[in-house]
Amino acid sequence: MKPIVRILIMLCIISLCAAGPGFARDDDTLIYGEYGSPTKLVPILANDSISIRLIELLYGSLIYFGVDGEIKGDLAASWLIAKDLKTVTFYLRDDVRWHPLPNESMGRAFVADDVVKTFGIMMHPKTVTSLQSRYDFIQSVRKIDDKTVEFQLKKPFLGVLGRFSFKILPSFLLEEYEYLRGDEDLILYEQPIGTGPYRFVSQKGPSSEIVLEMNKDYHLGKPSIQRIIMRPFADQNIITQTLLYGGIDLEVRVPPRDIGEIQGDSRFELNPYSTLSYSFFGYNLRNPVLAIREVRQAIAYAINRQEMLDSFFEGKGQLISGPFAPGSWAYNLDVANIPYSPEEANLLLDKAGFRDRTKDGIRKRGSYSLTFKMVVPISKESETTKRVILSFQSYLKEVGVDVELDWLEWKAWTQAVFMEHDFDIIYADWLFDDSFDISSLFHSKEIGPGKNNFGSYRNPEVDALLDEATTTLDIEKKRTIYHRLHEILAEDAPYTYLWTLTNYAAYNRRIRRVDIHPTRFFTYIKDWYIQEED
Amino acid sequence: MKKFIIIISILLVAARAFGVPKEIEHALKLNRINHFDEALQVIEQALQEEKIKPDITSAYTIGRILYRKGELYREMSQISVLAQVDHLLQIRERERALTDELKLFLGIGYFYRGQYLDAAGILNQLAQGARIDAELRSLAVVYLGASYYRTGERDKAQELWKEVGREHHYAYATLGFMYAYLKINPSTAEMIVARALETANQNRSGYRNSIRVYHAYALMSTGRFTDAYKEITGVDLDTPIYTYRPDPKTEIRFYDLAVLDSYSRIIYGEAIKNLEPVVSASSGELASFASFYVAQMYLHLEDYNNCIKFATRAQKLSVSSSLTMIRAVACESAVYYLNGRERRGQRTITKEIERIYGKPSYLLELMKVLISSGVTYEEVQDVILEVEDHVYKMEWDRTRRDTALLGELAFYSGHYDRALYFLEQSRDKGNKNKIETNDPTFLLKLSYVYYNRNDFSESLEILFSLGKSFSGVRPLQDAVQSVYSYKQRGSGEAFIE
Amino acid sequence: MAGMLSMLITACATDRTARESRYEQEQEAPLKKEEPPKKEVLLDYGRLELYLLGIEQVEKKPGLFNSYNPQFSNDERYLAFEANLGNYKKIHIYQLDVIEQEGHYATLYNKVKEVFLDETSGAELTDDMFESFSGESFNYEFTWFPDSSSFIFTSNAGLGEYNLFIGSVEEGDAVLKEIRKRLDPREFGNYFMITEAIRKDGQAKVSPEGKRIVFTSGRTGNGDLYLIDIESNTLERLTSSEDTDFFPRWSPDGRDIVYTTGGKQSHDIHVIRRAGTAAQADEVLVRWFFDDVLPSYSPDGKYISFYTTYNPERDPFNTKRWGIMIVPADGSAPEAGEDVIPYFHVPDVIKDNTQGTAWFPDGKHIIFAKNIDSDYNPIYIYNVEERTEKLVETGTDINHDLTVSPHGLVSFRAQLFGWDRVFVASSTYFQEYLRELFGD
Repeated sequence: MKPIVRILIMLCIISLCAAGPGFARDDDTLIYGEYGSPTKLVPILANDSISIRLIELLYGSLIYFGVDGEIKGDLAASWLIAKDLKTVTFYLRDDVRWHPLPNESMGRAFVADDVVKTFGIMMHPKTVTSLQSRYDFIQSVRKIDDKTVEFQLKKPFLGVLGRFSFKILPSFLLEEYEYLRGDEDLILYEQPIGTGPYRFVSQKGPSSEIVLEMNKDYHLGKPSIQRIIMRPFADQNIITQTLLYGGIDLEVRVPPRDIGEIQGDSRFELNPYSTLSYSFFGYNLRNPVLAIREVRQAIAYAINRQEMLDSFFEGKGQLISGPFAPGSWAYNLDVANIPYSPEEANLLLDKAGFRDRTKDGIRKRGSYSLTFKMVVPISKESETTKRVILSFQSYLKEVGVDVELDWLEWKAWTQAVFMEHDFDIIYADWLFDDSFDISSLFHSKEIGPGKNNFGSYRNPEVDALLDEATTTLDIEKKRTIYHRLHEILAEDAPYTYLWTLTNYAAYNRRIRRVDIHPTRFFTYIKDWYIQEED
Repeated sequence: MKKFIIIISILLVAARAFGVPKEIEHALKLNRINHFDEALQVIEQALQEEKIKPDITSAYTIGRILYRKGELYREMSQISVLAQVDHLLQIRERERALTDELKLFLGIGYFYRGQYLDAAGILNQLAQGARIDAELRSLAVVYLGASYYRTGERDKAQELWKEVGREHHYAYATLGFMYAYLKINPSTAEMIVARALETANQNRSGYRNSIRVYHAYALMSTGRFTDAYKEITGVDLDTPIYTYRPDPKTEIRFYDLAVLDSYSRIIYGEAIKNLEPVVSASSGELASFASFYVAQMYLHLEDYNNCIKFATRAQKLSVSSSLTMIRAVACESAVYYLNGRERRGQRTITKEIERIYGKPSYLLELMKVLISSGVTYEEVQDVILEVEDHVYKMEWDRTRRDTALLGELAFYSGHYDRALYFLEQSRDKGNKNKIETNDPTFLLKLSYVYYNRNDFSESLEILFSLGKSFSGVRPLQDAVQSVYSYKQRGSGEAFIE
Repeated sequence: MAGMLSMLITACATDRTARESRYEQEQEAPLKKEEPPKKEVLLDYGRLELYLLGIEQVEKKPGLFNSYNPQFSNDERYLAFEANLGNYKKIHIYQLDVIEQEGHYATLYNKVKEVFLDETSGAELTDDMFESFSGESFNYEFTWFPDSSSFIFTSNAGLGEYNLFIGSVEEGDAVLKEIRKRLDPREFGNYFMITEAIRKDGQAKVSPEGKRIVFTSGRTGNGDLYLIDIESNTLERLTSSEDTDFFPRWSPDGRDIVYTTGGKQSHDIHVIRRAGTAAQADEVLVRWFFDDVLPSYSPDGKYISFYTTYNPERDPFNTKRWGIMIVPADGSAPEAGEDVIPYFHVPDVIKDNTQGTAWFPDGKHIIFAKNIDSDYNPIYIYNVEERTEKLVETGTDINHDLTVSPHGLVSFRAQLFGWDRVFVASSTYFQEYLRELFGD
């Protein structure tokens, strides 16, 4: 056969293959990739982000925050906050049904008992969750009738409504349980039953994909996308490649290095979402050497933060000069970033009296040397953490400071940092809501086991300012106070403030109207839809 | 062999002649990543060191970069005024009773938003009996007079202004500025502000930056564009003119609302100075481009005669199917609208729309010139609706600029959700707030759209990045932060990861 | 005449500076340059002890970019790697020269080319030059043609879709000429686009005899392998499953293609036997509960090694740890079940994006970086037959992208202060090879 004819035939075959209904993909299914698998698909017990995202699809809560930040009712039709601000009553919707159990055709009605039961389990001291501290402002809950629930608060609370975004569990499946530890023989652990826009269909084994189907009776309106499949992956770049070749439609968290690659392909949309968080190195001021301010300041001068941000995170973020994210109303724009200056670091350390050196070149003063123990949690996104820490060690070595590492599992790490205070330096992130309330981080009354001022930082001026900021109703005053706090905390340097990062999701452009919630991701899923391709 | 050598050498020489000099290329590179000041510095230095000649290429480059910078500051000034007044209104809503200082700045805000009656109302209260700084009281008088002037009561204004004395040098400078701003008498304006500037320099007063800009503005209104430009070199646009401290722990900063607008006009003036010679000296494409930009800048400066002159020139010099032609027509049409000749304006623009009906990118460019000219939405509503309707139905390979223009059009029409959608699409998501890959004027607009939709943290993040590269962003940042602080709803959660 | 000539000379001089500014050339002149003669060298690896010596950093000039994926050309004359500068990626190519120094051979590196597709190149001043919204190109997934300085890479040319492009280091390269003649590809400056579908085409690999190219394409909607035959200018689709088929590699004899396929449960390894012929058949190599990805052949074609999430100690359900599994390439090992486990070799290995397992030319040793919690990816050499490993002290940290050239030169990247840089280490194998080549 002539080569040209062969070519033509080949091309015909190929074009048929390409154009025909050979797209193995269903136009009404959204497949997304996660790095890892969920631990538990049960609210209250699950606290890892993968589970939280799936739970957002399966379960509902009394209220939620709309895209514009306004509070909207999910399971609650309306609510009433008493004048004394100590009672909150929710009037539940009457058109909500739980997802049906596998052998049932229709689900049961959602009632007040569900709310009461959920709250009871959540607050029970034996339930394995850290949510108790978040909700201990609530005194009690009681059912008024099948569609009315009343919460009593311990004291009046401004903006309390936004707190009622915890997920509700079905009481009819939990009748024998007062608390949950996660090892019970509960049908919910195998078959999540919720009130959310999607129902659980299947998961054939712990590391296989999870299939969800649209909840046709969803009380807030039927979602557009018929089916959602979550596919777990063991490698982030493979998720990216699978996305680019069309095997999945959405990548929930794109590693920084793949962002440029995805952006270079116009078929995909990158969706940045910032959480109001920042990264930092924290110091334990119980160590007498770290209690010296010049030492802490010197560490800040000794490291090249811009380089670390550019290299490890592809520059996808901003350096910060104080304990707030740049998107915060509290950020003091007058406070400049500390520049990278090993010379300045050396001067400060000299000034602090650490002029002598050990034979390894580490600075010392009398019997004290600049050797610190840094504790690192293993479960953080390990390699970028390692890079930051390696970099940190190298920079500090240059100015005569030695950092030794202790790698611990997450639980052991929280124990060391928050309970025993057995550390010198940590590397971590703080995540806030838009009140940017830093009082639990820096007030001296928050020093102690289990509290957030893990470094034992004390400054009476800061204490006074924090107290005033909490009580004042004058917004301008509050903002001015926060600016002043930014200034003082930058100067005092109980932390070395690093950066705030932007997270990216990536998806195929055929998915439209994508709004993403910064922590829960799928809150607005019912408005997403898939455009048919030509 | 000889012939061969001759041919080769001619070709090589020819190639050289059309090449762009290295310094200009460097400046262009910097311009492309939106580092305007750096780019201008490179050219300036090259000219000083005589590495390049002051010819058409360098003049065009300087003019074009200044044009872009001017556009940025014009956008910034508009948004800044809106946001700062929002902040004051927010305070008023919460506080119920305003102190005199707050009244003063709210009044000034009303003036710059065009609400002259409201301004007069509130400033009147201060002019009579106010417990504020004498300087500020004088300032109130100046703006009260200006408000009267705008509403037609010119004699009343002049009467009031007699009270303003040289000893209150900032108010005095503002008075001089008003003489130029309200087009009363440019040379008097210059004289007054020059005197005030002298005082400011002697006392090293905190008002110096503002007064310098006022002086430059006055110079420009007398036609001395280049002197004006020189005057504003190195001026700091981020200093407040007044810091209000009702108690030691509360501080509110007020900024001069006139400065950014004046600054942008002065930049335009210098740009025009550079581009006008290009129009007359050359006859190629560059001349037609230069003509259009000069026309548009005159439009922004409200010099309609010159605008028409250059718009017509641009139309003559360009090919009828070119973008320049279309944009020049839009300038012309805008002038008619702004001069009250609505029908003529509509005819002009509609004719052009019909001509380019099949080219959506050109339609968008046409609209862009019209909507940024100062014409109100109500005046051109029909035209806009028709174009929007048509363009949304069309399918074409949209460039980033097309998408950004769609966003601007949607924003102008008040469709904020749609505007956000398009503006976000045209953003370089991977480098979302970097000015190197996102046009800063467009970023500014995006931050305002977010502000409008109460997504303050997103807005502040954009401004944070802009503020690192451009002076003058601070007043806007302060205003957005303030409004945000009033509206935040969080309950104090903090988690460690 | 003299005037003309001098004008010509100056014009030429300026021309050259213009051209040179496109490619950064380091001005060092190599010392005693040895031209490798075309001689087939067969070494008896059995009598050599394998270890690394002379670790050197390739890029001498500092720069604000990270380097990834070093790739040696088959004749070891060039080393190419990706340089990531923020959003845009270029490929840097270095020429390797060997000199003799005090009884052993040292390698010198000289940057000779930067590969990227650039849209802008006007000489005249136009208004477009003033607008923002420029698009630079993203260039990566680089692979060499055997016996040539030609190469293929994936690029979007600033246009928003990824396609395959070919180019060459040396002007007048025969292979490039041949391809241009046969395929008549679209020209983009110095590079030529050989695929044109609107979805991503990438991960190209050239067959050992240099006449066929296998690559992954998204044009079918979910990722499938395609084959280009250069001589006949044909394009053939090799896989048609519902799952994403990607990361293809040729067997050293050019007959088979091994690849990864990903679906509902986990990723598996398949082999296409006799690819591109009428007797083509797709065979499952490993398909079990665990994830298996990035397969590559041992140099003698006897084994296929790949990364697996199987781990004897850790939680199998949520493990993101990779280990190395090595199975016979002929498919004689079981494809599923517990009987696959004996083929598992090393746990806790650093898996990189595209490099695959790095085999030494003896087909017995592999080199990798280990994923140890409290350490920074130390490098180990592993003996496949004896199942023993030994640590290699390289003095570098956060090691990645290990690769070995056909005669035993090792390259990898490591973090140096803030940035990742490429390093090359010689091995006793390579030294022996050079001794044989240049004659003692």
